[in-house]
Amino acid sequence: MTVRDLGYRPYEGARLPPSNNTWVMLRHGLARAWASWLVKIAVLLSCGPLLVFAVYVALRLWVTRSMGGGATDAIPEFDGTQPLRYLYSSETWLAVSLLTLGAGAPAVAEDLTFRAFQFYFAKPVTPEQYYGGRALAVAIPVFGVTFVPAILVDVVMVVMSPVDHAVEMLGLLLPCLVYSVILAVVMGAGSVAISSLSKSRALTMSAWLLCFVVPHALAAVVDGIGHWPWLYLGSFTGLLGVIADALFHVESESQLHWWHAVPVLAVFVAGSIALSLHRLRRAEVIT
Amino acid sequence: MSKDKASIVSVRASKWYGKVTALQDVTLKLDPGIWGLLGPNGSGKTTFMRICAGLLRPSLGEVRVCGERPFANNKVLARIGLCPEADALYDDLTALEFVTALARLSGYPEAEATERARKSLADFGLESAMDRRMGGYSRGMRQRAKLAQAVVHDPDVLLLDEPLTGTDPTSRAVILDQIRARAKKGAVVLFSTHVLHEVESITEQVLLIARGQVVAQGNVHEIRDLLNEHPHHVRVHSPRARELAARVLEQGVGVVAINVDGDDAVELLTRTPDTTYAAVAKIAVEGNFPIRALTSPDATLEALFHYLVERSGRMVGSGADRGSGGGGGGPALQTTGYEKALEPGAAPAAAPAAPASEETP
Repeated sequence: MTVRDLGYRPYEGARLPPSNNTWVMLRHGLARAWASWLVKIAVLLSCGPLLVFAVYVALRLWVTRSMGGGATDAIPEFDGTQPLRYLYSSETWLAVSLLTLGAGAPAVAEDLTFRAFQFYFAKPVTPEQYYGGRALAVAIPVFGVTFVPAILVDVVMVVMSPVDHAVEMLGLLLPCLVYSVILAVVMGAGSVAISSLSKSRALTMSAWLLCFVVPHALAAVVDGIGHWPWLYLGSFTGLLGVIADALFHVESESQLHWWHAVPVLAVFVAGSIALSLHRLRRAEVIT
Repeated sequence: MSKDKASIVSVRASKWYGKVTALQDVTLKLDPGIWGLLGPNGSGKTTFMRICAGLLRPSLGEVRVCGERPFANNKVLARIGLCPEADALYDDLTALEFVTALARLSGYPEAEATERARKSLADFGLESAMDRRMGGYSRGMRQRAKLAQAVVHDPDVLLLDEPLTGTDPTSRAVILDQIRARAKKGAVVLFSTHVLHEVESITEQVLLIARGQVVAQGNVHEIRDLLNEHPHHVRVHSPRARELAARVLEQGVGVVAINVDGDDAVELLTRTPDTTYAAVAKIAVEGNFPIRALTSPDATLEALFHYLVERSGRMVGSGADRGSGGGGGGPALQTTGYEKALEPGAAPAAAPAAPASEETP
């Protein structure tokens, strides 16, 4: 019996370039991420702040109308960027935390558990392509669950603002886009780096949760009691908050400014990527 | 793209994990066909397969697949199919999703990858189960899914690490048919196992590996002969074991050594096991010896490996191992001097199935 007898036919078309592997890994990663119940909950929770915003808008409309104003007066004016800043803050702690916990922290650890490297790296897949696919499979959902609600909120604000104010509101989409990208990159790189440290999903997920919460909580306590904000430099969530304040022009009494946060986060991202690639390159598949 | 002929060439390849030597000085050349890689557990089979698959780098020496080093070499990796030994599958993916993803990583567009994955899974008898999650698969089905991903991109070199583990006779027949079909197409199929009859059912070309060394290479029938010819242990349990041993010695039935193990057991070392078995039975009947057990602890491949390793160990330094196919210089059945053959400008190697032409001393 020959291969032809078995019905195989030669493939005459062009093979896709190896760079396509990142895209394949990304799709595979997204499918695997969606299989996690934590990710499904995260997506559901990302609608929560939108509901709160909708209730807030409805209440303002009702209060304004009940005070006897005319139709034009009934349009509530929004306090500039505050709703968006609150939206991002709540999305980070509700949706992004769970999403990175479900999709990012176990991403590489799961492949180590299933010994899947031997399938990937016995194909023309490089560690860089593998990493790109895995990190993007976290970063893209993070971008999605933050930017899409921000667009919706901004559109509502544009529609409900006076015409001269609407353009200004529309312009807020740019900082939203920038902040969502920064959030996605930091969260994607950080969570995947943690996931490459061990093959135990429980361990990597716990470690990520600790990194997410503990430095921020400690910094908040120290800042609250001693008015010493510099501990936030050790908390990427805290630093992201500093950048958000700067982008949305939120007044803050903190001594920390975006020019402190940006280099530290850049080092965090670069270090995370370097750590992940180092671990992957070292991952000779010994079982 | 011009393609080198499918081949695996290893020149003095060694691999260490810290202080543990997994592979030692392996030199061989494999041309298209099916090759059985026989060895006991922990002998270095998987390490050699992984080096060939580009998953590991040899610590010393080199391994070339289709003329090039496979580690981090996309061109060569596209021509290799690996079925790992480990039961490594995502439980929450369907076999179709899994095999399609891996076909896409070999460069096929989505539609082509899906079609090939379906075909490949169907060939391995998973037509009706390919849309089910692999978490619910039996061991044999998981094995077939792994094999389907190994062949989905039509590789020139197929590395199968214990592919028949956990399979039922039907699955086994399907798998062996597929392997034969691949080899007929011109692929090098390296098939590892520690069960001799699995290799016998599919190929006559074998490599014996033990303690990281290739201790013999050649025809499977010669391996069978070695099993019969190497010094054989016959263990007799009897309350009058010493007396029985004395009778055996008196009759001189090819026994070269006797180990007395307590008062009720004796171990005979013989080069003619059939004669010895017959003689022991005759002596037992004639002398009215009560026999509790008559066993051979080493009528297995394991024993042969130990014997070959011991023999190669004895020959190291004696000069007897020079020019052998493996690193050890055991009874290398095909001692064609690969190191010479692999030198630049050397003539192509002889057909791999050539029978043994000489034996080491």
